[in-house]
Amino acid sequence: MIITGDQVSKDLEEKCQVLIIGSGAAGGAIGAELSEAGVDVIILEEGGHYTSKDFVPDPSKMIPMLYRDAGTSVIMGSPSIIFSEGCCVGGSTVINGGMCWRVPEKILKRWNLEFGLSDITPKELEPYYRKVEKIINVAPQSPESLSKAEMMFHRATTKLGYLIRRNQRNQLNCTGEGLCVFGCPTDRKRSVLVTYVPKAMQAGARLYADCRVTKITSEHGRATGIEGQIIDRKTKKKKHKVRIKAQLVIVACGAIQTPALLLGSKLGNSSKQVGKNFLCHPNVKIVGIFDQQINYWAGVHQAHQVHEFLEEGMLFALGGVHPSLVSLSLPGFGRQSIELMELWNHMVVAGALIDDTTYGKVIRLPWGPPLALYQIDDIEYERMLRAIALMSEIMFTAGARKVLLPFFHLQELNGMDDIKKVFSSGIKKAEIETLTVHAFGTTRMCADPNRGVVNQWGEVNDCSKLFVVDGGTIPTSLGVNPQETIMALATRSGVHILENKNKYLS
Amino acid sequence: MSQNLSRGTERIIKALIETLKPRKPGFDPAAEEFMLQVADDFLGALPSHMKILFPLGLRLLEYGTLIFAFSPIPFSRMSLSKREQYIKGWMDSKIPLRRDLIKGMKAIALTGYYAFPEVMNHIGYNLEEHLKRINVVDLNTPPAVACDAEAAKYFREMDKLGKWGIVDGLPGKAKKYFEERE
Repeated sequence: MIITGDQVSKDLEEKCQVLIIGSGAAGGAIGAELSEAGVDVIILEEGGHYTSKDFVPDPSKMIPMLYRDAGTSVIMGSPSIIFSEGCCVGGSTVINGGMCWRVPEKILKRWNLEFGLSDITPKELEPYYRKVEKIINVAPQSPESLSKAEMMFHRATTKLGYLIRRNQRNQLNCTGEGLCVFGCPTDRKRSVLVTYVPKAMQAGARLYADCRVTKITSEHGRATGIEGQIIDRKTKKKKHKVRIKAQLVIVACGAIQTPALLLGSKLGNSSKQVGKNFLCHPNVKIVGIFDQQINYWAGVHQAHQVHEFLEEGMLFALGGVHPSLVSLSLPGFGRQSIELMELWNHMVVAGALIDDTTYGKVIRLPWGPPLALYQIDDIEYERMLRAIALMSEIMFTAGARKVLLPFFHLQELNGMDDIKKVFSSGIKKAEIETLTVHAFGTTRMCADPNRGVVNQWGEVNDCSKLFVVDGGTIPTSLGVNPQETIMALATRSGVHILENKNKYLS
Repeated sequence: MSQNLSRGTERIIKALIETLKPRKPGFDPAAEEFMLQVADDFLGALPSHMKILFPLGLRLLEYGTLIFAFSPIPFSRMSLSKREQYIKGWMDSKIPLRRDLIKGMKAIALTGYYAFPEVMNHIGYNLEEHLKRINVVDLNTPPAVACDAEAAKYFREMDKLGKWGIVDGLPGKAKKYFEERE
């Protein structure tokens, strides 16, 4: 049963066995796992509940509706990084590109070596990954769903001898509408909204949308429930008070919101690690302009990823988005803008995900919301320049006549010979335009309670009956898209809770 | 009629839209009202602290003419050509905060503009046609029509040749992978 804010007409008091805060990749997966085992579950979601019938290809409607802070979230630093996350039932899985990769083995080795997470091995994770992949239908794209741009990208990278892999995506019979970031209008992207949430609801879970949690309540070092508000979806103002008592509280609000909630509730921070160790996979993108008409938006985006440079901290893919969003990163305004955008069907956008080498932090502002701080370091800066140079090389190999760059000063390259300018033009860090959609580390897992916030199951070290299961528990940068790993780890935590019912649900 | 913009904020945003609006001789659709509506919707969806900070940023733009353009005339009352020059100054500023602020304002203005049907049509973004062409009715039916016939043919052939798989090779082994298959 999904209850939206407008269906609640008075202050709310509820009781349940397990209360889950957040309905995204982690909250949805653990919610379904527990409720299907007969546990009485309530899921709370700050955003609204929408279905594919509400999804239209209009960013001016979808961004305020589905994105946190209408897509204006920023990670402060020099440069500041635009951060996008979902704020709706299904969380970011509703608006992401649907990339599904398992955590690379070398990363798990790091988790073992640096954080003592010796039990989290590929073998241990295998059944959880398999279960997730079945539920969200992880599969490669069909040839029919691909655009001409993907063909050109594949040809060029193959010609250059770079390793390119078919992307695994959570999709069923995707027809290549290219509208993933505004919510899939045909439910072919198998987000949490159309997979885990219905499963949990069928098993009897209750989900409150438009419900903002302000505090996790506790007694004698044990979480007891939450205090929150039903908010008006339009004004975001408080409508009614919410108090829910639970035997177990699970936080799954993402690596930026969760630390603010824990800090505000004065829980889980005896190690002083809550909000620290923030990682975010900064992204940079370029736009290739070709003589021929390509219509790169006509087909699924990110059907492939270049993994050649994964060990060097870079991953490349094509990204197909709406002209509104592409126009924002192009130089100028007025006549210059329209003249560039008239080349829309001749454009191809490519992006690089950069593996973090430094940490930022998330602090809680005095009035409650989080503020993320992150400063790109020299290694990331070098990686960004290199990624832009390598992506430009791919674009020119594919036949581009011009590449538009995400730099303040050097704004375009006109051929292979120009690529060296990326390194020789004295680009400063603050002059690179960056964005991201991933966040990790702020409530990291660690065997040593002095260096982490949760143990390997997501259980908060210094507060009983409290779990964190979102991306914040991932202790290192993954270098690949994290949604499948977040779902697998949350499922694993759910199984652990069920195997220890006497401890957690008594 | 704006629901979330004060009169002062609306005046500045209208001036901003007029300045930033992409147009050229022969193409200047009447998108201003739509752009203002989008700005209004965005402002309504901002979190409470941003609802305070965003209008403050707009005031900085409005009255910053005194410091950044040595002009006593506020931005919204300047001539269009002066406003264009002033905005360019913000975009090219050495102060990252000024550049970031104008980027945010550009986002509010251009998101609406390039979602305006006449503009999407002008740049060749015929999504409706694409969707009509490729859509299948039933979720369980695989796509019958290729998004791009040439691309579909290329990938089917690559698949037949065994060159289009989910490779289990590790990064850095690309050459070996391709050599083995050639």
